[in-house]
Amino acid sequence: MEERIYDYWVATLQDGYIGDIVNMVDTAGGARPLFEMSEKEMKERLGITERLAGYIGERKGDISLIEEKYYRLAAKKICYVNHTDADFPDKLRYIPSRPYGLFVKGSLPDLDKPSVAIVGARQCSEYGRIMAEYFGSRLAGEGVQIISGMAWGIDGISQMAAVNAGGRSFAVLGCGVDITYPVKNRILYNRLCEDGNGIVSEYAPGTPAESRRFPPRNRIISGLCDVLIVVEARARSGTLITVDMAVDQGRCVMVVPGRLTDDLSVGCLNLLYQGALLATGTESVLEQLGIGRQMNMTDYIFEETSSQDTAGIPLDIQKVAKVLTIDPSGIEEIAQRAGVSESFAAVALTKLELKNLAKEISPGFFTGSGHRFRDI
Amino acid sequence: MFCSVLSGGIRGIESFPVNVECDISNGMPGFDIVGYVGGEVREARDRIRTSLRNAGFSLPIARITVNLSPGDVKKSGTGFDLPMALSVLSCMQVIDDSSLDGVFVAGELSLSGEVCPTKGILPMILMAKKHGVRKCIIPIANSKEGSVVEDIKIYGVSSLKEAVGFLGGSYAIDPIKSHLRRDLEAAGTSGNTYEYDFSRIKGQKMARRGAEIAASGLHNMIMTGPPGSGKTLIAKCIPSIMPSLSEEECLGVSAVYSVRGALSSEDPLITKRPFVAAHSSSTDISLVGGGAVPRPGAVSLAHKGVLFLDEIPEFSRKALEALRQPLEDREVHITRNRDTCTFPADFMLVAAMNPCPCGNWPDMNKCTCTDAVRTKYISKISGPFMDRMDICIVARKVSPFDMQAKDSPEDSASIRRRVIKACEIQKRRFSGLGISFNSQMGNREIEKFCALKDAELSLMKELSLKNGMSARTYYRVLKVARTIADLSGQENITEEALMEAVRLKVSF
Repeated sequence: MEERIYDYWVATLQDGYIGDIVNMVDTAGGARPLFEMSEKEMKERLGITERLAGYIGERKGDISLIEEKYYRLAAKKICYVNHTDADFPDKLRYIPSRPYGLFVKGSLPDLDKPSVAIVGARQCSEYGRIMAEYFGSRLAGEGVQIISGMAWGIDGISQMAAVNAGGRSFAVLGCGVDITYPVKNRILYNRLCEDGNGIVSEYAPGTPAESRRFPPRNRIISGLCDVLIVVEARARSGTLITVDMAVDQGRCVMVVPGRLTDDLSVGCLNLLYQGALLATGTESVLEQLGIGRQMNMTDYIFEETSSQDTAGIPLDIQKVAKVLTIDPSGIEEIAQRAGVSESFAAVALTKLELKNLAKEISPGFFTGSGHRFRDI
Repeated sequence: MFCSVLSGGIRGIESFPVNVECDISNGMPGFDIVGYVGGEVREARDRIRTSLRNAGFSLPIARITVNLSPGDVKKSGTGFDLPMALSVLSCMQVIDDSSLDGVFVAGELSLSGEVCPTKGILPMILMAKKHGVRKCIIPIANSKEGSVVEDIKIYGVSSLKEAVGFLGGSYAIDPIKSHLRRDLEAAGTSGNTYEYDFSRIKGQKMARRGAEIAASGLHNMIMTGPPGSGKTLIAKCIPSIMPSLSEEECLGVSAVYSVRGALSSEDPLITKRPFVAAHSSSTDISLVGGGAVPRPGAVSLAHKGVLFLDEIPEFSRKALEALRQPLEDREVHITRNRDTCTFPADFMLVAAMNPCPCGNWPDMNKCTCTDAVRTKYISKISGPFMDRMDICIVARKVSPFDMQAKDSPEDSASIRRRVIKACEIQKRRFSGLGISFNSQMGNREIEKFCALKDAELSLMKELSLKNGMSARTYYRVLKVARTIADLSGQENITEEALMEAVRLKVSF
């Protein structure tokens, strides 16, 4: 039996709570000796708990079945990369409790190219969505690889923006790479399986998504990036786990600021207070990556609506366009701010929506989408 | 000796004539009631025997047979007690059988011989009038309800003795004068003061506008908004801006309440549009009606008015699905083993829901619901049900500034004037087509009455592409746009009407 099958077997042991698995296998003298060890021996020689030894013992089974499973990976277009392989990312070789192996669908990030991880709240605000889109698409446009967890909210939005901008993006999942989680991100999942992008997980294919498996995967997200950008995090957010790991691994942490009054900004502002870098725009991130130009704080991220956009729109409708912001507001507030009647505001908003100058982000709530990101 | 008295049974909200026949003959002494009668009618035997004795009449030792004809229709209710007792007495020649000619009798008896109120008097009297009856003897507690009907003499009796005395000529009762005209006039002149008036609602301009459009075209409406944004209050105000009920409609609504036994004995004619709020624990039967003896449900009690369903995702799916048929047909058909009865259910549905379980979505700084939780919450309402909602309104939390605003909001009477105008335009448009509101248009009518000119057509194409409208949504937007145009008195659907209608579409 090939040694590799035993390595594959060790990798499938990962279930979210094993400590330094590489170290343990080294002590055992390799994957195969570990497989052949009795539970009692494991306890004595490896110094592991009875529970862990029992778990490993349970997972042994018939090695020929394991082999069969290993060869079936190719049919699912999944490849297994062991930590000893040449194509195992160097960045992950030197992080605490490094993964024993990775399951990859698509490709692994190119280590010669800069990588940025963008993470944040799942239930994000419209502001968070715009920021994730901005950093995702702009950085991808500069040839930066975007790494994230494909979660609902900031993660998925930044990855989708990167892919849409023609850039590369890689997702590190907390379940098997053959599982789309969350299901609502199926389109993104399919895009990430395409050429140049990739889906990575240290969990064996078929492993379902469970909350305990997510915190450990965050160390891979932070491990694979050069700069970690946090967009919107509540006071007790899972994103902060990724930040802790990034700091442990010596990665640069940047934070997109929010308002003091927003729950979704508390985590971000805390990080800034503790000394994280302020992400003011793409340039500030590129600067940290060592590929940026000098940034200028007086530049806004957004361009003003130009007269070209509003050409041919009656003045009173332009009045409504002017009061729209990136904060969603209801029709009544908009009418009040613009000083028009509610039914007129409703009509004006429909017209502006057709011209792409307003956007209904949820029934009855509008943002001005007349803003465009300024070119760098 | 044989004799018969006219009474009435109830099927749905209609009454049918029942001849209460009695025969006393020689044979084995006994008292039998036949004629496909329900349990409560059968029990009448003991009530009649005792009340007759307590009124001073003793039954002869003979074979007494009471038959309720026609014999193939199930009869239920307690209204047959009095006619049965009178027909027995007539057989006993205590009263002259000619005095019962052309007389309609209904009422329940108590053991002491008192006459108690019964359900469904209004439809019975309407039926009696149709059958050429001139005099009606009914319980005194129901007499006001009976006297809603004009051109028929209503006599209220409080006891069996009184009824016998009245028929025998020894006791005089004045017929009760019909108060239909007076009530209708009172409702007309006072313009129907409703407890809930739009003048009480500050702010909520979008909701007011939406309610006005919905009431004008009888569109079903759904409101979303955080708890405390006044969704229930807005719904309660809607009947006050709907046009007044016509005479026929008043009688129709009152008949439903009469069958339910829910009419007030003092002021029985319903002249206001009903507002019925169903609780989210309601069963399908309580919403659409039913039961062994079919009773009208909430949809029928809301006939010609508003049925309000608060917290609509909390309703059981079965209950909501049951609403689909009455929404479509504007009546409810209930079939029991022998016959089918029909209850009217021409109501406007107003539903309310929170945008998510915590109610704060889309304010992500306050909302604590995950996306999955919110999706699950909304998906509790089936697509086909949502398809029946024409207008969606987002109610906002009212700020304290709005509450303190000095300017008094427009009252319901002024809104109603605009609504009535729009209703009249629709009535003219649909005359002879069997419908009277824009919401009731089928596809054929939409194509005819919502035809768009070139400019509007290309706008509508653009709008439907932008919003990814389905064919169903497209037609609904057209219907609402038609109502908006009617409200502003325009013959054709304008661009503005279309653009406003798009804002009111349901998009979940």
